[in-house]
Amino acid sequence: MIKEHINTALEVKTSDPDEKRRAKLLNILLLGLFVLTILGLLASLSLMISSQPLPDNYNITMMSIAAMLVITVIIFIINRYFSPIVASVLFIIFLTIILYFSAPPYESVWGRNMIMLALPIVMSSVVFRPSASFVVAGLLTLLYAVSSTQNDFSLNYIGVLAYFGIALVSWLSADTLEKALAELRDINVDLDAKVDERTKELVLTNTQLAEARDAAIEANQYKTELTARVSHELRTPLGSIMGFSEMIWSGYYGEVNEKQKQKLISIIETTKNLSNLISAWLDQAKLDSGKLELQYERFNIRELVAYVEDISQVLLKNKPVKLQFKVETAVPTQLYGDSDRIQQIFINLVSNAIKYTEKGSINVLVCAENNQWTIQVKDTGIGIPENALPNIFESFSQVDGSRTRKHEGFGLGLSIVKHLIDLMDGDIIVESLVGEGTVFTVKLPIIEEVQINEINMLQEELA
Amino acid sequence: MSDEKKLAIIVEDDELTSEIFEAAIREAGYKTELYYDGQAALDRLQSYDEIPFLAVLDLHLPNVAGDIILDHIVQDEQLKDLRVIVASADGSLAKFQQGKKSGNILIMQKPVSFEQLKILSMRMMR
Repeated sequence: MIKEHINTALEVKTSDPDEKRRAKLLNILLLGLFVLTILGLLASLSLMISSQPLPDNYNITMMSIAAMLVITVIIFIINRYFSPIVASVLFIIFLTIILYFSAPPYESVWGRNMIMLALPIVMSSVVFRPSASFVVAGLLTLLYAVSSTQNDFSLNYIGVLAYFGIALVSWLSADTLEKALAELRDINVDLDAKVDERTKELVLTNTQLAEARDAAIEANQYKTELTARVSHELRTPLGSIMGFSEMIWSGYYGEVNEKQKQKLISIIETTKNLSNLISAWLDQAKLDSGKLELQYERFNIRELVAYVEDISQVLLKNKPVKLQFKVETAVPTQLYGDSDRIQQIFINLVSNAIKYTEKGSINVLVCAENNQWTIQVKDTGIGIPENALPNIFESFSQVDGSRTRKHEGFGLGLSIVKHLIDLMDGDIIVESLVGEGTVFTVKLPIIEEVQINEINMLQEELA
Repeated sequence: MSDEKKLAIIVEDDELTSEIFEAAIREAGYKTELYYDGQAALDRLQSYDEIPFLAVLDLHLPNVAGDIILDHIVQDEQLKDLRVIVASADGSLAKFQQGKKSGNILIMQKPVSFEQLKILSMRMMR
């Protein structure tokens, strides 16, 4: 607190950093002089109180002390409020006078006081200008010459030479110090400029990044909307191609031969693949843009499985594969969740199993334990190599070239399944042996109705 | 013999698609009525003149949208036994009604397979 007040008192109102430093230094010196004078005053007063016989020059001493106090305060005021240059000139003169007259003239020219008189030379270089030391040394020489002439003693040439030597050293020191400080200031200014420049660059980069992010989000939304529209518009003609092909194949329009039937199956299969691809494409776009929201509701798991079974039988066609569905009695008939998406998980996993199983069986089991219910799809298909298992849920992932050629697909089905299960806070595990088959196990939480309301409210808030 | 057949109404604005739906439903053993317009279908249902057993409903329809018709079906006590197959590119629109009337409403995503529609509508008749 006291330190703060002292610092405030010592501050000088000037913008020139050199002048500010010199003026502040002068203030410190004045403060020191003021304190010394006060101590002198106290010592004189204690001498008076002690009632000893007072020295002859006691009154002169007291008057000198009072004069020193007044002059110190005046120089301080000039330095702080008017002109630091004038104040520093006055201080040097004042200091020289005090020191010169503090001893008899001979002592000042030839005696010990000479050393004390070197003080204004040194101080002038730091409180006024570095070169001011020579001026003060010159003035002291003049003072010596006058004093020597008046008092009839010879001029102290060696002392005068020593003063100029001290002036030279002071000048060199102060000049070097000022240059070093100026360099430091330049470095600081340069550093500030660089910090400013970097800050501006950073702000610009941040703005550009934010703009790029907004543009990317907008582009992604546009992509999703476009995908949704294209997907919707494609489904109707695809439905006509598929439907009429199926009708011709089934003999609805008259008899068709085997070769024609085979080609019709190719048309139907291609159309279905195209349709699945569109669905997967749309889902992936929704997942990418975070637009896919789950619609929680109560649904009948047994009805859902029966529906999936019907669809799957159609998908299986004439493959020699035994397809079995089982829902264990422990599974509650009414479950909560997004039934469409759960149905999609079932169909994706089962159609995947059908795609990669040429003979044997596919078993779909639904069971429940504790707070989880499980979908298990187990096939006796070609299996997945161990090194491919870690990437099986990534987009556009199919195990290898030969598999890709034989089994058409976009490689999005399992990726979408994984995304959907993640959205449902569930888990999916895959175990497989090449040549023996694959087991996909999906674990989903059994959600209570209270939680459904919370989820729906949360989704509404987020929307 | 034809009088014993259950009635199915098909509400689909695309002519080719409705032709396929009609064929599949007939193959499944129903007699059919075809509507290309949502308002006409709604008027037909609200006339209660021979309440159909099954409705195959598209959601994107002219004049009255399919989900409005579905809403009427769910709320109308006289239509409580009506089975509905929603065939749409956007199945999620019918979710709310499906939740309320689970079991009577099936959602099929377009493109709807002729064979699948035939099998499902046969299964509904059972």
